Amino acid sequence: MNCLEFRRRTLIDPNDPHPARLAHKETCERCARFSEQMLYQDELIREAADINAPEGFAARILLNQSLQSQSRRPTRWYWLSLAASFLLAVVLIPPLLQQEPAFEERLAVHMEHHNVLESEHDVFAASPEGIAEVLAGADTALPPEIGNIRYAATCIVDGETMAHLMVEHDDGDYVVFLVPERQLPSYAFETDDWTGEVTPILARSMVVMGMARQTDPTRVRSLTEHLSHQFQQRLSPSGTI
Amino acid sequence: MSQLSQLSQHKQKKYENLVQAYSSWLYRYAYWLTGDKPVSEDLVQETFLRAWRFLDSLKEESSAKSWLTTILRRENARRFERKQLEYSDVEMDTLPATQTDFDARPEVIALRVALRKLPAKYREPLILQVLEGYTLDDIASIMSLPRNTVATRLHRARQKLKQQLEKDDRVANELP
Repeated sequence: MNCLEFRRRTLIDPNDPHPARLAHKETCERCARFSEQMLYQDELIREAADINAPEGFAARILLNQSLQSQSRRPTRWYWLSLAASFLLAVVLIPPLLQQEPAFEERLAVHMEHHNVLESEHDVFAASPEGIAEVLAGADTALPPEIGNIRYAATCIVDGETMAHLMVEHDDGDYVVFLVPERQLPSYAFETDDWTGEVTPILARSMVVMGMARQTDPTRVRSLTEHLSHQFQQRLSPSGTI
Repeated sequence: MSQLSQLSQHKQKKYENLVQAYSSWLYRYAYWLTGDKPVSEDLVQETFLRAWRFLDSLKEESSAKSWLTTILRRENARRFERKQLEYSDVEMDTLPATQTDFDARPEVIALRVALRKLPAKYREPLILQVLEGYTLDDIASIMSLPRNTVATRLHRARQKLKQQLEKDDRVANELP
């Protein structure tokens, strides 16, 4: 087997057990490296393509089949099945609701992987166009006095789209999330790693956070009030720009 | 217990086993076919409803997964017919990301993006082979394609992914 044929077979299946292919791999360093690349790529595919089914999905399928299987005239079995379905919902749903983590906990988990305050990069260089695009995605625009936005990205936290900013002030950097799709109540929070405030802004919400043990909660509160006022100036009363 | 009742219980048990064993895989497969989570849920629901109706035609449990996968493909094709759309490649890169892309290593994120950009006719056999270990013959049977066509598509799929990843600086340095 020559190198061309080896690569052709490897691209079709990196685990191809053809004896001639395996023998060639033993003798050709370049092809062996190519084979390793393809095996690694397949590993990445497995990881990247691993999408989880929703919670309780199998139970819903069974429930759906159970309801569909009943005859049109309700029988004793129909009512028993309905009662069983109700019981299933009562048993399944409360634990799911109880287990849902608080909003700030979900942000904290997101920040474990996307903490730009601790990034290795020194300069984020958020361009004006990039910032405008991210803010437009959160259904808002750049207010006049927000501070220096050093980083802007559109993030998805547990299926919810939000703008993720890093804003530089004289006393340090703060993380700001703009949540365009719902209005949360106003409250302060402390997690292991973060001190923050959640505040509603018309039809949406904003979160301002600083790293715990380095940030004064009263400063977060005053910054939140300032930013809330700034963003409200950029929104119409109906909540649109 | 009457014989009819016993048969009914047996069928129900068989069905439940299929749902528990394969609903996650079918959901994953449906997602990479459609790029849409709600549509994927609906597709899988429809697949299992159909499977329930024709469960008696499944003679060997060992072929259940391929059988269900084929049903799902057909349900997806019917979805396009109902919408009177051409059954063409779904351009996944125009769909919003549904995973939190920052919750993964950069090379995994890059590959997920590249996978979304891959035309469906290349992506589908790759998913079947890499995620579930289907052979070329299995894939040819599921997709109703000649074996050589499947081989060609797998070849092109990996080649395109490799080219895409090599363009991405985040990944190029991580490749062995």
